[in-house]
Amino acid sequence: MYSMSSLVMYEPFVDKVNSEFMAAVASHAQTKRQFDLFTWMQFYAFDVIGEITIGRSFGLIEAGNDKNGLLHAIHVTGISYGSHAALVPEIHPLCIWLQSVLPISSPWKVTMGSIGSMISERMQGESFSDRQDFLEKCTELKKAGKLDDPTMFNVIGANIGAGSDTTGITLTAIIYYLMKNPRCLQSLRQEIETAEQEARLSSPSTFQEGQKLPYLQATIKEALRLHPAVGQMLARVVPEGGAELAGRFFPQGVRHAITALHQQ
Amino acid sequence: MLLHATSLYSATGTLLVLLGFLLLARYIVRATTSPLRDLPGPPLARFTRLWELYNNWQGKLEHVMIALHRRHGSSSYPLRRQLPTNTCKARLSAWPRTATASAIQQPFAPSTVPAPSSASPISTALSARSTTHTRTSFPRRATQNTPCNADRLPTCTR
Repeated sequence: MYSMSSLVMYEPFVDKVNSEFMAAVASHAQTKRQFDLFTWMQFYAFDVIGEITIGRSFGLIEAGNDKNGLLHAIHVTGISYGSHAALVPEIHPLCIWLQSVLPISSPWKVTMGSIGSMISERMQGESFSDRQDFLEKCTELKKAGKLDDPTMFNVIGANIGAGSDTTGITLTAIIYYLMKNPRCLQSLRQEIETAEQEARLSSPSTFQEGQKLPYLQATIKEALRLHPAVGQMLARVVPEGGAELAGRFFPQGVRHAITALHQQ
Repeated sequence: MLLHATSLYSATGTLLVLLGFLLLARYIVRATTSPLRDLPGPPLARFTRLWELYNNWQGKLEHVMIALHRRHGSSSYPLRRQLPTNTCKARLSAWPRTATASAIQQPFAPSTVPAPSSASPISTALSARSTTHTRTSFPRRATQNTPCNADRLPTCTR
């Protein structure tokens, strides 16, 4: 589902959000209104995720704000809570249980509720999609008995919960570092202008065309290196018998991770 | 009667305190005799994950990590140890740029554990893995200027 060839099929829908985003930015520029780039990048990323996951945009760019509070709820559950709970995962079941039995409004309820209703609407045929979005693919697999409910919830939930923050952070980092390094911005503009003159870029440009711009690719990767969206380490457990890594023996059961933060 | 209750009470108390000490002693012995005890890092992190949680709570974990890597990161050895044995590798240059996500996700699967070699065990491990992933080739730096093709992108970049 996440293979590049299937993701590229969503390009037209992403292009649609791209033009909405560019229009919004242009309107800010015309009226000389200041705006928080990260917030808008997140609106953009969230709308794109909506297009490819549930077949319609969440409409945040159009509204200009987090209209259903879903983005905020995801931020609290995923970033504020998640980054802490991941360090002491033992407390997670307790927290989930507490928020479910207490009569309080919790961002978990908002997030889980939204995802659950998206899935059930599609399963019961109350909502339709004009494309093979993630939800449609999951529904087909589910009907064929190849997917159970928790997995389906996880696939859709991962897209919605984890898809927008990381993209928003990375896009913002790219723009930030370009602004901080006018020389690089200049080189990038030059590469794009040259490509345009040589008719190597269509409008809107495609993923394949973007892949053939080495400076653009280098810019993206350099921003990812300097500001990885996932700052915490994703640990791996050394298997039975231990393992030798970089000339050193690690006994089995050791949790071992490499940080994405590498600036040397 | 009163005397009896008090002595029972104090006996239980003593037992509990003793048990607490024993657990604490076991904890400290395990921390100080860990096979990874020679790895450099903040002393507190040897004993508790709360060190990491605290820095994360302060919202400065990434700065702490970068500072630690600057301080200890000249070798490719892991530099932070933590109970229950959590380590972190400083240098990424040993990791091939074009590794697919699956190779990265399961670098320590039993089949990939290489025979000890002085060169670079990690790249050996990943090269071994590349036999099952036909798309992966692992030149260390050569790919830097090559435009990526779509197939080579990790399937899951998050």
